[in-house]
Amino acid sequence: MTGVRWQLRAALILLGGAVRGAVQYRADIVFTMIAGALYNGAGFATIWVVLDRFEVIAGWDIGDMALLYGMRLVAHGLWLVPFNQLDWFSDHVREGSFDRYLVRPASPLLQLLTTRIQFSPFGDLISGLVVLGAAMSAVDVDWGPLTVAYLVFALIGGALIEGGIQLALSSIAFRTLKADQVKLTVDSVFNLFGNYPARIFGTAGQLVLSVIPVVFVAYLPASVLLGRVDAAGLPAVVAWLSPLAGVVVATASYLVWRRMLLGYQSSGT
Amino acid sequence: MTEHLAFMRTRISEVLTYRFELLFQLINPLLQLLLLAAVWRAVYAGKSDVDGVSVSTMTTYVTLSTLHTLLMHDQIVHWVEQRVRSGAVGIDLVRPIPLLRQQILSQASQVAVKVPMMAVVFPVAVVTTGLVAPAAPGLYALSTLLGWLINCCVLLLIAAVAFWTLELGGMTFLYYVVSQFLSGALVPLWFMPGWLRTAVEWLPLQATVFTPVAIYLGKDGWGGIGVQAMWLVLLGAAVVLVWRRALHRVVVQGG
Amino acid sequence: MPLIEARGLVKDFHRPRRRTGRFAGLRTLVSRERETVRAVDGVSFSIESGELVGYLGPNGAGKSTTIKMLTGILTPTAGEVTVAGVVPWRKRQDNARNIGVVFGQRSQLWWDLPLVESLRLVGKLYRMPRTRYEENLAKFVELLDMRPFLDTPVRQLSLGQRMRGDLAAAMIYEPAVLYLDEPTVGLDVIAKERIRKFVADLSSTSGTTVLLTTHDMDDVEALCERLILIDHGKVLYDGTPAALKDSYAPQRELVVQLASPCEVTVAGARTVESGEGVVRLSFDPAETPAAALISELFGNYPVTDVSLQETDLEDVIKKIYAGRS
Repeated sequence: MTGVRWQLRAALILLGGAVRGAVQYRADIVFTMIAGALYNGAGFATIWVVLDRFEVIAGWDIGDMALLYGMRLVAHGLWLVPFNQLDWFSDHVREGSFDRYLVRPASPLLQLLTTRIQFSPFGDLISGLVVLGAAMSAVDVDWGPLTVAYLVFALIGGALIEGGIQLALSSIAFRTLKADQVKLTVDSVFNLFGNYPARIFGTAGQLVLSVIPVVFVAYLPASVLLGRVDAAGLPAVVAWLSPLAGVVVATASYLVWRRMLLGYQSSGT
Repeated sequence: MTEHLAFMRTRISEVLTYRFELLFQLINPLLQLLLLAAVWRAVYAGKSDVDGVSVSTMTTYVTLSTLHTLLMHDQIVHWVEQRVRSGAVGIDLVRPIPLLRQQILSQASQVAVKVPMMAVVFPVAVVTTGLVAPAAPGLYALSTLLGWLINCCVLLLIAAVAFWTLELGGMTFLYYVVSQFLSGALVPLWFMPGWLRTAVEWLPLQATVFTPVAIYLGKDGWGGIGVQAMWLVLLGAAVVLVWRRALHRVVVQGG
Repeated sequence: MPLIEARGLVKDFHRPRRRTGRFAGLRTLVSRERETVRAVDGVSFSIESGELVGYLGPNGAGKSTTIKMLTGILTPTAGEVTVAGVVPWRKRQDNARNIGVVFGQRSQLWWDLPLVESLRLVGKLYRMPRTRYEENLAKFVELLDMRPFLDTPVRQLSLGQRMRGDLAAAMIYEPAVLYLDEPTVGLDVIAKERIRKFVADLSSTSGTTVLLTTHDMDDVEALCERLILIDHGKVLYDGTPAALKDSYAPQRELVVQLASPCEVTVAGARTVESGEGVVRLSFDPAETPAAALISELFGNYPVTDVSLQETDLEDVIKKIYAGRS
């Protein structure tokens, strides 16, 4: 009754409820999706404007940069679509409304994630796919079954890294009641620095971005695809195996979450 | 005058209750600063000069535009939206200070909190990106003040929408995204493609960040001040008109 | 075997030690020092299937903390707890199927959905067979008079309506145990009455085991055959309301109306209050039978009316807590 099959069924039941609840705000759905897409558009516009004048950045031209940006954004969208409710998690803990997830027969994390449907992450995902699609035809890569499979694994791996890090950071709130600012800051680091070749940040910068581990989300797999393995100072094999990093990070993060859940204090009243 | 000071004092203490959040808000501009400085150094790739702009001019531009953007980010839109939605704006109306002046004082209160915080960021920014000396300090100070006032007007115009719709939703977020680009905070106008530069020059947002920083770097002068003054007069008039109608709505419909 | 069993339950809460003085906020943030507050301190009780138990105590006594350990929301610091053979915090999802929970302050319903949709989701989550669900829904709509607001989004319901909806959502899958945490708080008299009647019916017809926390002694008087009283995280009393009254407040009161004001002195009774033609007497029924007292009064004084006052549970409990602190 608590197995994976039941959890999936419970997720569908709860999602059904969330969808019915969301339909009431139809105008907002379109607007937030456009806002999400525009936000990412502005990020890419910066790169585009700079490269319009300067042509390359650390040897990456506009097509290469678009591949990197697209991969990062798709990975971001892939984790944000299912996991966006983590944004409200520390509110639930602070106000004690997390209680309700602990007295129902489904995984608390799954219940949290299916509380409401947010549409702006779909804007991220769609704009990411558009950029990635355009980049795939612009870059000098032979898109065969092997490279496409590698791309897909890299995207999923990137999503697992970002999602895993955010899940682990969120679970701090079980103890401290607050984790929003730390989460936002780390998210900013991924959103800002994940879109550029790590080489431009110098040795110290590359080291920090490898530890966090921003470079594994898109930079390393993109450089593998572009045939210029540049492992940010790490051995080349690390770059090749970077999609696996997501599995490691996500598993570790889920264990952290489970452990921290036992410390939930159910504050509020 | 004393009631103005008292009003500002309460607003400042309200802003200070969120001082930890504010401190964290400093991290994001700092990160952006590090990123942009690295990007410009990388694209210059050892060249000392591009189109008459040196690397040190560019890194100074990045530092200053980040600080200016930080100065422009303001809670006023969010605040007005909440006061309107909760109906608390009715209470604000009976205060001895006119409603519009309360908003300007609120924004000034936020600057009063932010400036000491920026004093923390400034040395970090200078160490990481470097800073050249100002070309015209007096003119730069004047232009900064004008830029801040123009930004106040734009924010008050956005906030006024709440009187009609009660909710601004994603609009504020969208504005911050777009304004970062159009104010020149990310890329200076001189490196924009021609058509984009023309479009941006016709909009008021470049007068908030780009103009003062360009004056600091000696790339603009009294001409920039003139454009700023024109925008301030236009937008100021618009604010007075729109807010008068908004207040009329509150008085007639009771919020 | 009892349905609910708690043995030596302890719950400590940790919070960062607040600093005072200069840079207090920053030092609180940086400091690792924590202080420990013991909210529940060795609570033991066992509840048999079908009992309706009132769990009482002043604010901060540890009532909600105990309930949260029984529901699996909180992990106990020490001690053991089983509910229908399941350790709640270890097997939360199994435990969830055996229990219904209503928190008076906080709805378990879906805010944006019509009430009936919320109930349908609950039915599916608890894997109710369709016909059984429809039967129960019809029954609860009837019992709780929910038809007028069944299609209203939960956020638009009044507090009383929402509480009825929450009760239905907690009981529609027929759990063996129902936890009610302050179910009548903030409700008007009629709404309170309706909820009490529903809980009483549930207990007598379905044999549901109910554990109720409340500040409203009328809830307790109307419903509970057993009370557990706690304070400072420890059990003070566990037994029937009648025995509680007898042991803590053996004195009863007689109010005597007189035709003309006069001094009243009767053997075996003490004058508590004496005013304009009204005298309140306090006596111990074990030593002075009420009948003897009344006939003596009628024989010696110009009595127009007498009334025997029931001992008020609220007063008794107030007295107990006052004596402790």
